[in-house]
This record gives sequence, structure tokens and C-alpha cells, in this order.
Amino acid sequence: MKKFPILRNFNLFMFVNKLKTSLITLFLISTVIQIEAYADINKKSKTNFEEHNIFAHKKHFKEIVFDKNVSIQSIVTGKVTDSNGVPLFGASILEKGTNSGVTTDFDGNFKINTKDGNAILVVSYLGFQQREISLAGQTNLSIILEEDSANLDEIIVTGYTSERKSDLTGAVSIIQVDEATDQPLASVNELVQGRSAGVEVLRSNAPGGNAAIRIRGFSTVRNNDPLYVIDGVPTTTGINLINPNDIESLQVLKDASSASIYGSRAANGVVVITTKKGKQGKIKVAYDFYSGMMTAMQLPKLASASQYGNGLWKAFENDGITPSNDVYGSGNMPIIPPFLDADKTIPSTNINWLEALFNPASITSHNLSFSKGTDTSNSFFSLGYFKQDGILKYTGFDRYTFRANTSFNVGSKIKVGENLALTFSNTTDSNTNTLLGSPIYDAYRMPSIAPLRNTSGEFTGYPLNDIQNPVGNLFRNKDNEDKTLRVFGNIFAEVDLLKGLKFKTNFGLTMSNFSSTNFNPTYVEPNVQRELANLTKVEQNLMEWAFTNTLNYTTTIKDKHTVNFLVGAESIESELETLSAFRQGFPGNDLNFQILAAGDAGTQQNNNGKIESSLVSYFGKANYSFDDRYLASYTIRRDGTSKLANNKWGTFSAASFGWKISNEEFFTSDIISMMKLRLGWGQNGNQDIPPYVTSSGFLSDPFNSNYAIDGGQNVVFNGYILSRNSNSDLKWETTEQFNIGLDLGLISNRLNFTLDYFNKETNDLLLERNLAPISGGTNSAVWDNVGTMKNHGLEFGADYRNDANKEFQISANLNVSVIRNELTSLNEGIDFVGIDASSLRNNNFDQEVSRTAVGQPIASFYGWVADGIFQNQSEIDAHATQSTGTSPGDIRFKDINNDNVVDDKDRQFIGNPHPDFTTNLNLNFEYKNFDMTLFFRSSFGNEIYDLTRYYSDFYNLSSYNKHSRIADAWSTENTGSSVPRLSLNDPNNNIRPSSYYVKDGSFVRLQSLQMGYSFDQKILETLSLSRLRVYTNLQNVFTITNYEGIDPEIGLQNYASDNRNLDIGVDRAIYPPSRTFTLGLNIAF
Amino acid sequence: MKTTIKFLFVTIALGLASCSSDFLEKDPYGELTQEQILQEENLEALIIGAYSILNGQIDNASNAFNSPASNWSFGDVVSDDAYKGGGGTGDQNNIHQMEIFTTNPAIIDIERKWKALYEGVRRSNSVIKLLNETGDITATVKEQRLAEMKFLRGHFYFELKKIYNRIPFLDENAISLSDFEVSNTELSEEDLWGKIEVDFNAAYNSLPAAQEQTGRPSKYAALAYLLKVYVYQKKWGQALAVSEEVIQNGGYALMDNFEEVFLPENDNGSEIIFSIQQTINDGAPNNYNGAIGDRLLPPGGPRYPGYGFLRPTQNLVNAFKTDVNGLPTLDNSELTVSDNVDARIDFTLGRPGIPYKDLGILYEANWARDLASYGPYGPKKRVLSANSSFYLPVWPYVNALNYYIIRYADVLLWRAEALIETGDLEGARIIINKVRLRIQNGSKIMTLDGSEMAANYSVGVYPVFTNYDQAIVALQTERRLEFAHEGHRFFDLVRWGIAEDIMNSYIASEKNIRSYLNGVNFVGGKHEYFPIPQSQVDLGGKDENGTLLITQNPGY
Repeated sequence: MKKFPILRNFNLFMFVNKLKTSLITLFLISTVIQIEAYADINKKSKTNFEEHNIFAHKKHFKEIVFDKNVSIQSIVTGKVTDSNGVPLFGASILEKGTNSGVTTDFDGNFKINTKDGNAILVVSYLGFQQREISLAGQTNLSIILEEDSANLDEIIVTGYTSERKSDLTGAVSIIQVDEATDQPLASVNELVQGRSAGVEVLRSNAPGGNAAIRIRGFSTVRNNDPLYVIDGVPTTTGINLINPNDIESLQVLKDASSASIYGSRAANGVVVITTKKGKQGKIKVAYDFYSGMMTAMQLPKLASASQYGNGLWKAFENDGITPSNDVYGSGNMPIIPPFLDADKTIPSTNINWLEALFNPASITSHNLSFSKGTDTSNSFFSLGYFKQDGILKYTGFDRYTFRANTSFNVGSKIKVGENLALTFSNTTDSNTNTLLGSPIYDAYRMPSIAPLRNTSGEFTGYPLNDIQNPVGNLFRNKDNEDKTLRVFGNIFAEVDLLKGLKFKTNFGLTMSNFSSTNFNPTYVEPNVQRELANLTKVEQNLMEWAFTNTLNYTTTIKDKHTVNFLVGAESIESELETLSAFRQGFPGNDLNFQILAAGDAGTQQNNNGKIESSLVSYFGKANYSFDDRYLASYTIRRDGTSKLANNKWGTFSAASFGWKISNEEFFTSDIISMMKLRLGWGQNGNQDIPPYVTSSGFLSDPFNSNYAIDGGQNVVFNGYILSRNSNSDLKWETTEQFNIGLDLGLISNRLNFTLDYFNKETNDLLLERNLAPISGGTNSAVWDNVGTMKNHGLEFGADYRNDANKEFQISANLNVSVIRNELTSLNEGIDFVGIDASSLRNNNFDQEVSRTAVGQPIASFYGWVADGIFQNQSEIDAHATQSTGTSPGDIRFKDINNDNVVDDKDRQFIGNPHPDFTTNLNLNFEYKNFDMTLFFRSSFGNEIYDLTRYYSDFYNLSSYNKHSRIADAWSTENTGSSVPRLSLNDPNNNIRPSSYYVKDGSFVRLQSLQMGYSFDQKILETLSLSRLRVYTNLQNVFTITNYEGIDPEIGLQNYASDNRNLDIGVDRAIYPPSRTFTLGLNIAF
Repeated sequence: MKTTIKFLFVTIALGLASCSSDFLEKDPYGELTQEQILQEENLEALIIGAYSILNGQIDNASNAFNSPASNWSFGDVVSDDAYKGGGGTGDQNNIHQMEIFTTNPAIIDIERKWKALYEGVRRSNSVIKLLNETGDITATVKEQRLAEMKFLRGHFYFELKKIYNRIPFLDENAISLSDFEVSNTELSEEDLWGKIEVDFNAAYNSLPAAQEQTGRPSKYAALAYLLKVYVYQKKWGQALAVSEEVIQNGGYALMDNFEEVFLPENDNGSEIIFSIQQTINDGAPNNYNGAIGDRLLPPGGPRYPGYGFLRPTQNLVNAFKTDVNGLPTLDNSELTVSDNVDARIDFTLGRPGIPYKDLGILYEANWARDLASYGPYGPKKRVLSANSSFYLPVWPYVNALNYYIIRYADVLLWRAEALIETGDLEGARIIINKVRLRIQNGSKIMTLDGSEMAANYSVGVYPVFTNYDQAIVALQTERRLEFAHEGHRFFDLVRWGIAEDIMNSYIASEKNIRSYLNGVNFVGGKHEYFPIPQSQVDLGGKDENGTLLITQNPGY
């Protein structure tokens, strides 16, 4: 938050001017195209059958021979439609055991001559499950084919174009999103969780919390979030504001060869999302609903009032001090008094503060959509409402979404359309996973003897410590809302210039307004109070536009060579403005006073900041396929960014090759139906740094540049300071990735395997490196290209789906990821990358627990090695000197450098937050009308730095509650304990950062268990419905883990900082996952 | 058809290139360029920015208590005057490590303090450099501002020298980041002191006798600081000469009442020679312009948040005990309620049973946090009344009381010290008594009903100094009592060469009531100075032979 004396207004005309030339171009193009199209329509208006099947798999048709000369026994007519009643044109109908077959016409109708009236018809259609139908005398059939999502030849939206899945040469994960509407999923990122090898979702369990996605590990030390491309518009913000029900398809581009077309910002992978469009046929109305209850689970067992008191007395005893405490009295035993204070207003109790913090909470989602498509237009319209109350009291999240997607075909050559999403969200949340200010961590620390309320019914606290009643804290925060209004969408036009040549222009826009109210009321608790209320209002406006123009040419030469060329250009501009205001001193705490005008004008503060950045890119891509056997692809992209100075431009390229071995003549296998080898290499640029770091100037910073030079008591003079250390030679960070993959399909592609190995190296890592502290404290870092990081790993996926004709349907998906991360080099003079002091202060109590150093994975734990507990004095004497006060029961720390003294030189890397491997398993069963889904997730070998033990295990922070494990602390009678002796003085400094805090975070979790029932067609017909399904779902069914904290899935730290990648896996009392039971309903008609 | 395609490609290509060439040029909002800063009013603001760093607030983080301008952790907690305090020995464990002399170079306070002081060096250097370059400012103003910046730079180096001893020296010619790679052993101790003297001499020569804006140092402030530099070097002759001039011409005077010295209304008064200006409710977010480095000091009780740091030691309490003549007893025996006591005690620290400020209530032992670890006493001297409009009763609970870098009593007692060291015991006695008489004659803390003094206050004057030892002990005791909890004690012990003796005997007795002091040992030749921050050693560069430029202090 910087204060800027000079303000430049956003000028709409400037913006329009920048676009002007482009818009004129667009107009010219469309005019030309219209003329061209008019001529074309007059020339030929016949339908081209070939075109419809341009992506059809040739091998499919090999088996079908159209033989018109069979003896006529029986004539059967029928109609083939999809489950929505849309006719399927070109479906093949084959009489089983013969070579006799036909295809359906435009209306899905067919007529076939069969040998006899009991023949079996095999009905198949690209993208649908094949069906076998016994005629049993029927002569007029109505055949409905179910969509087959596992079908190999899906059309996949990749970079600016679409490809057949079978033609993919990169590592692309296709997420089955049609399951989304069948499950209670709150956000897009949940949709991705566990569905794809190499894609990790770091959860935030808070309502509306934005989970983060990591694709193939941490490739840089800063922002590792992937790029999202939604209907062709790139974005990195507001992902939790997308309604998952609006998503038609979602692909994760994992390797450089697939992602590189997106160039800058794609180094962390790309999530490509296409939202729903209207489909041909009658109007479809769908309503999806679920509602459920969430409860907190597996909360740690904190010390009871007597456990805490007994521990305190034990600590006094160990320190040789006569026990005495203002609450627990003095004497041989701690006494639990009726009241904690002399005035007898704070009654003693034995409360579990963590349990007091949580309550069961409801979750509800409604989604209503309408869609329709015709030959010339299609439209989709949806309304969504999602509400999740926090299990943490007085918190919650509401989301209202609206989407309208339409497109029109103008003539046969031009298509124009728009996709628009409006979202409004409202969040009341609280700090978690940070040690300072987190009510959850405060609940760890508040002694159990302290009651929730005093005798007057007001929130109260413990007279001997400085923490606010955590429930009171949440209550006081209950009206503080963060509201976001976001407009996200695009308008586009596609023009078929010539056969195979398509021009597309796309203008995407993100506008979002974030507005927050933070009112802090007055209160008085025993040792903490706020005598004046204060209010902070923040407004943040983001505007980002992306203008993309592409030309795409596809042609097939001599039936064997298919080529596709793409050229394009894209410009992106982003502007973020923040406005904040503050006052204190309000007439009361009531809601109607929570407006700035009610506060003391003399205390007002305001602030305003604005940042801008822009990107320009030119790119080209060529795909070549020979005989559907050999595939090759080459991409080149040149990006320019406003964030760099002397090295604005970067050029990045990628190449990949695919070999469909199973399409070779020599390949004959009854078991293996598909086999493809993929090879890819590519580069991606990254310029995700704050703007302006390549230059420096002078600015006023209200935190540390002003001074009362005239001796005043409440007036300061504005001062200037150097804005930053600049580095004009900063250049693009480049991620280079090699990928080799094998796809295997067995049993008619019902069993598929995918195996990928990747090696990703990020060079010229962009990092704000710390300077020696002699450079001062205000500008003590400089942006630089500092080193290289390597990720390599194996991804394995297996997918099975049994015969579609079986009554009992099983499908299973297993994926396994193994990723190894290592920082491979840093520039001369830099030994490691750490997090800055202010984060250490607020989030670690100044403890340095993580370092990112050469030869180690990012964010490795760092500290002393705890090597058990000293059992007696002779063990202490035999060991290197730790402290003169070291006693039996203290932790033995390893003397790493063997100098016979344990000091700060004896620290080393003590743990790794990254898993050895992760696996996910999805099991789906369907029997008749019933369906059931089981979703297991697991992680093995990751470690957690349990920083909650800082206060919970040590009595040198004596006025705070402990974990119940202190009841088992080491003593002469209990020598087997792993918890060190209790001490107020802690002469051995047991509390220091060490492997004592490092715990195994492996787990196996049944993430989701779901059972559904779909009503019969007959019932549906009487209700005029096309679908009716009810289901129940249970999230977080069970977790098997040895970890004693709230949850082994720590996720990312909650403080908004890029440091969050540098201290992953540190448990600072996270928002607990909830066990959620929901009932859901899917209706369509 | 072909021409159409060509036309299309041309137009598209044009469209793609349509972004004007400045599309990728974005300038920051609210920043002045290198040219703009050279204008006079902007340079004046840059000078304000240099003053701003005096309070140790270097960024927008809330932990200026790791780099406090008042040196409460570096000067008091590590001395025999104060315990760290807080919620247990684990609360700000880093400062606990300092208190029990297990200080290591990785401790955050060690680094933050260093950063804050070098930030001051960097900001002053930057102004000096720009002032020297520009012609956009009148010559007299320029000369004066240059002098002010040299004063500031002298101050920052003085602080660095007394805390870290072996420090790298950068002048205004250190511009690029590579210029910051400097050895900390290149300059001899004498040379380093010489550099500091040069700055204060330059400031003295160019500064006016009085400043229109009281936040700026005057000529005599520079001279008083030069006196401090001489005293630290035991240059007694120069100290005598300089102190004479400050006393004669500086126009400073002791205030009548000790209590009043620590009121914001007087924080630029006759006794204050140079102070750090602190403000609250000045429009700055978080009130970081208040006494932010001391924000953990509020003592608890019904009107203050109970952070409870900086807690008076029993040893300090005992030191205020006086005999029948009102002179310090020097035996450090336990002070009881009936004992005679120096009245400064109840302006300096909170004692159970004594009224606290003007709140109309008695300080009670239960105000103190973690009694078992840190005893019943609380800080008072630089804590303002919760009723004061200069105290901020909301987070971060700071006040607008300036921190005094040098006050007149300093000058008096330095002169007395110089007189003792040069053999004039009688001259010293008169000055020491002058300081004591203010207490003898000044206001005292009264009971809540105002009927009588809250304790048996008795402050007498020294009748005679018969020998050097008596005189120097009297001087040292006087400095301790007068300046308790003003961040000077530890540095005084070090410059007197008695730190090891005093601290080890203090620990030997104090450990009987503060068990965490068991086994604590002050190592002479090591603990007099704090270690060089590990990050400075690691990132401070190497010479052409690949040897680290920074040498760690002995013992660390």
C-alpha cells in the first residue's frame, strides 16, 4: 500500500485509441469476408459429407463394408438420437455377423434390410457408446445412444485451436467435467483435484477459499499458479468465481509443447476451459441442486484445564521454582478456582476452544440453465447460486453467477458470438494458517480454564495472556464482508475465408471490483482491549483486456498429409487500482455506524495506488500429420512485456512428435487397440514480476518516509525515499521442458494407460533476491535472474471402463504422480532463498524454518536435528555442549560440524514438504438405475513442519494452552516419552526450530463417497422430464494418517504473498477440512 | 481471389502491429524521476525521508521492536536494568537468547537493527550525494542541509559502532549495489571514530545555533554528540573543552521536575538536545510514526494491553535504595517498603502499591505478565498515561513521546565523568549534585489521595569525593539511576570496561529469583558487542582472493 501524490486518471479515449487500428482492421476483414461469403454461397451450397467426418477415425470404418447385395428378409426402420433426443446424423448401423450396414440421414433415420427379424443390430456413432440391439421382431426402432466420454476421438481445445485427442502430441489431461453437475463441487479447482496425474490441488478449506493448482510441481520460486484460458481469454484471477456447472470441457496442458502456444504465463501449465453452448435440438432446461451439512473433523486434543495446570506445576518443579500462579494458586497442587479474577466475573471452566470455534454449517447450490441450438445459432443461459457457511463460526461465502453464451452463424461462413459471465460474491472470512491473528491458532493458545463468556455474558479471556477470545474475535468480525463483482467474457467472430482457412478474432475482458469493509469494534477483555473502534474500506478495481487474432489453415493433401497452420497475435493490458480509507473513533459498534462518515474525521487516512502492465505476442504453430500415423507439431512465440526494460522481448519455441504405432500396417494385435508414442520439447517464458522493477525513482511511503520535522505531535511532513533497487537488465525466466509419453489402449480402448516422463528446467529464475543488510532495510532486495530449478517426474494414468452393454458398469481411474523438485543453482554470492523478515515475524514468530537452497527441493525445512531426549546427566556430559542448563529430559541436538558445541552452525536441512508420490483412485459403479462413486486420494512421504507446537508443547510460553501431549512429557518416571521435559526457562532452548517439529504427513483419504439413483425413462415420460437423478454425497469420509495436527493437507499459507511457495508444508493451524454430507438432485427436461 | 488473400494478410498484419510502440512502456504512478528529485522542494522531502528512518521503522512490517530506536532490547534487556518480559521466555525468544547471552548472528534483531541503521546511512548518503550534484538549491540552505545529513550519518555510525564494533563504512560515493561490498576490518577503530568525528565536526561548523524546525539538530546538538563520541573514546581533554561550550552556549537547562521530562509537551524542551520526533494520529496507517519500536512495552493492567515487555530487574529496583543521607546504598540489598528510596524509582518503573501516572489507580503485581518468570515490576518512564491524548489506546498502542538521543543531563554527567578522569573530583561532585538536586527539589509521586508521598523518598547530595573510586562509582550510579530504561545502560557498562564484572555478579544474585538466569554467563571479550548479522557475512561479498569481506566479531 503506497501513497501516491500524483494521480493519473484512467483515460477511456487512450484505451479506445489503442484499439482503433485493430478495430478498423476487423471491420475491413469482415466486409471482405461478407462479400466473399456471398459469392461462395451462390457457388455451392451442397453439404460436404467428408467435412463432417474430417476427424473420424479411419480404422473404425475399415470393418464396415456397405454391401447392398444381401438377400432381403426383413426391413427395419428407425431413428438414432442422443439422450437429449437430438438426431444423430451419420451413425452406422451394422447387422451383427454380416457385412450389411447403413448410416443414418440428417434426421437420424435409417432403413436396413436384415436377414431375419431376430437379427442383432450394432449401432455406433463417433463419441457415443456403441449399442447392440436385438430386433426380436421389432421393425421400427427408437435408439438412444449415450455419450461416451471415454471415447478416444474427442475434440480437444488446445492452444487457440482444436485437435483430436488421438492427435495430441503433448501431455494433456482431459478432465471429465460432465461429472461436475452430478457432484457437489464448489469450485473449478475441486473439479481438477485428483483427476489427473501431475496436477496437485492445494486446498483451502475456508468457504470460498481459492485452492491453488500446481501442475508438475513448483517450477519457480514465485507465482506457480497456472494460466487459465476460458473460452479463449487468458486470465489468472477470480478462479473461485467460476460456476463449475457452466463448464463444458476442461483440459490441463501440462508440458511445454502443448502449453507453449500460450507463451508467457504458461510456464506453470495451462488450464483450458470451455463453457457450455447450446446444442442442436429442442430447448433443454436443467436444474441441479444440492444441499448439505458440514462439520469440523479430527480436531487436535488440546490440554484440559487440569492437564494444563498439572503441566505448569511440573514445569515449576523441573525449574526448581516454588509453584505460584495467579489463577492456579500456590501450593503442592494446582487448584482450579471457581473464578479466574479477584472480582469474580470470570468463572473457571474446562472448554475445548477448538470445538467452541466451529459449528455445523450448511452448504447449498442451485443451478438453472436453459440452452438451445439451431443450424444458425445457439444459446446457453444459466443462473447459479452457491452458499457455503463456514464451519468456523460467523464466516461464510455466497456466490451468484450468471452466464449467457450465444453465437450466430451469419451465412455459412461467419460465426459471431459472445460468452459473458457475471459473478457477485460475498465473503466473510478470517485469517487462518498464519500464527498471528488467526482465531484458530488463538484457540490452540487460549487455556481451557478460560470461559467463553464472563458472568455478564460478554466475551472474555484469560487474565494472564494477551490473546483475544477467538470466538469473540470471530463474532466481532461477522459483519465484515469482502464483495467482488466480476464481469468476465469475450466477443468473437470466426470467418471461413476459404476452404480450410479460418480467421478468428476474439476480444476478452475482465473487469472486477473488490470492495471490503473491515470494522473493528471496541471491546474489553481481561488483558486486551480496543478503546476506539476503527473502520477500513478498500476498493480495488481490475481491468484487463486481451485482444487475439488468429488465422488457421487446415488442409489434407492426397488423403495422407494433413497440415494445420496457425498464426496469430495477441495484446493484453492490465490495470489495477486500489483505493482505501480509514477512520477511528465511532459512536458505537452497531451496524448503522459502520460507515466512514460516522468516524472521527481527524483520524482519517486514505491511500491510492495503481499499477499497469501490458503484453504483446506474435505466434505461429504448424501441425503435420501423415497417414494418421506420424504427427509433428512446431510452435514459435515472441512475447514482449512492459515489465522488462532492456530485455523486453523473448522468443520461445516448442516441437513435438507423435507416432501412432497401432495405425501401422505391421501392427497387429488383438489386445492392444491403440498405441501412441509422444515426444515433446519446448520453452515457456515467465515474466510474472511486479511492474516497474526495472527502474527506480522516489516516492512517499506513509509507513516509513514521513517525519514531524517541526516537532509536532500529530502532524508529519511528507518525505521521499528511493522507490526500489532497480535492475534494468532483468530478463525473461525460461522454462524448458522435455516430455516423453506413451498412450496405450486395450480391449477396444476400454482400458487405457498413459505414462509420461518429464524433465522441466527453469532457467534465469526471477526472484527478488536479498542484498546484504548493509544496503538498508527499506530497499534490501533487488529483482534478478538468480538460478535454475529442476522438476522431473513420472506420471501414470490407468483408466478402465467395462463393456458398455453390461448391466453392471464399472469404471475406474487411477493416477500416480512422482515429482522431484530441486533448486539446481543460484548465482554466486547467494546461498539460499528465504522468506523475508516481516513474514517471519507475523507467521513464524521470527523462526526460520524453511529455506530454498541449491541441491534441495523448494521450501525444505531447515533447523537443528533433534536426536532424541537426554535420559541422564552422563549422556549430556558425553554430548557436545548445548547449554549450561541442559538437563535430562531435554532434546539432544546433533553436533553437525563436530566442534563439540551445538550452535547456529549446526543447522541443516531436516525435512521435505513434497510427497514421494501421490495417487488418486476414482471408482464408479452403475447398476440399473443406481450409481456409486468412490474417490480416494493419497500422498506418501511428505513432511510437515508442525509450527503449532511452538506454543503447544513448551512451557516457556506458559500463559498459553498446550496440547494434551504434554501430559506425557518426559520425566524421570516417564523416560520413554518423545516430548521433552516441561520447563518455564527452557535453558536448553528446546523450542528452537528443529526436526522435533517435523512430522510425517502421509495420508490416505476417502475424499468422496457418492450414491445416486436415476429414475426410469417411463417415469420420466409421465413427468415430461428427460432426466431425474437424486444422490447423496459424503466428503472427507475418513483419513488415515499419523499426523497429529488438524489435517495433513496443509495447502498454501494464507497470507497474500509470493513467499507462500517458499514455506509450504508449515502448519500454522489451518482451516480444517469439513465432513460434508449433501443431498443432490439433477433434473433436465 | 489471390489478391483478396493478400489484402487480408496485409490488413491483419497491420492490425497485429497496430499496437503503438509505447504500448509496452508503462511508468509507475506516484514516483518522481531522478531529474525531478533534484528540485529544491523535492530534495527537502528526500531529507525528511532521511530523518524518518531515525525511529527504526524501515518497512511496512509491524516489528520495529526488532530494531528499536530506544535500544530497549540492545541496551536495557541485556544489562542489569531489565528483563525481556512478555509471555514467557519463549515469547520473542530471539530477545531471550540475547538476554541470556546465547546471542547468535542469525537472530532477527541483530539483522533488523543493522538494517535500520544502515538504511539511515544509505538515506543520508543519498541526500548528500544529490545535494552535492544539484544547483537547484540556495547555497546556505544546501550547506545547512548537508550538515544535517552528516549529523544523521554520524548518529547512525555511532550507533553501529557501539552495538557492532567492527562495521563497514560507506560514504556518499557508494552508489551502485556493488559499492556496498566493503570490509568491516579495513578501517582501524581510530579511523572509524575519526570518520564519525568528521561528520559531527562538519555538522557543528555549518549548523545554526538554533533551528526553526525543532526536529533538526542545532550546532550544539552536533557538539553534544561530538562530546559523546569523545567520551566513548575516553578523549577526556576534548570532552572537557566541548562540554564547556555546550553548557556555556547551548542554552540548555534541566527541567524542574524529572517527571516532566517524559511528557510529550516537553519533548523538545530545554533539556532535550536531540530527539527522535514521534507522532500519533498523523494520518499515517498503523501509526508507525509513534514510538513504534517500543510498542511491546505497555505494562498491562486495566488500561493497557498486556504485552509486558521490558521489565525492571530486582537489581535495578534495589539500586534506587538510599541511606539516611539520601545517597545510594550501593549494596543492592532488597528494597523494602519502609526503606528510603530515590524518588526517580517511581517515575522510572511500576511498583505494586504506587500510583501509576495520573490514572488514579495503584500499580498492582497482577498488571505484570508472567509473574513467575519476570516478577511484579513494570516499565513506566517512557509509557504515557492512558489518559493522555498522546497515547494511542488502540493497536499498536504507541505514543508520541520523543525518544531522547541526548538530553542535557547526559552532557552534565559526561562532563562530570571527564572531570573525574582528569582529576577534578570536586568539579564533578558539583555537577552530579546538580542532577541530584533536581530530584531532591522536584515533585514526587503522591498517594492517591494526595496526602503524602507514596514512599519514603530521600535524595541527598554528595558532601565530598575523597578519591577517584568513590567518585567514579557515584558517577556510574548516577547515570544508571538517571537514565534507567533509556537504552544506555549496557553501552555504559561496556565503555566503562565493567560489563563482565557487573553482569556476572548481577546474574549470580538475580538467578535466585529468575531461574532462567541459571547457568547464564557473560563472556568478557565477546559479549560486549553483538555479532555481525550472518546475512551480512554471507552476502557481504568477497575480495579478489575469494575471502569473505566481512569478519565476524570475536567469539561468535
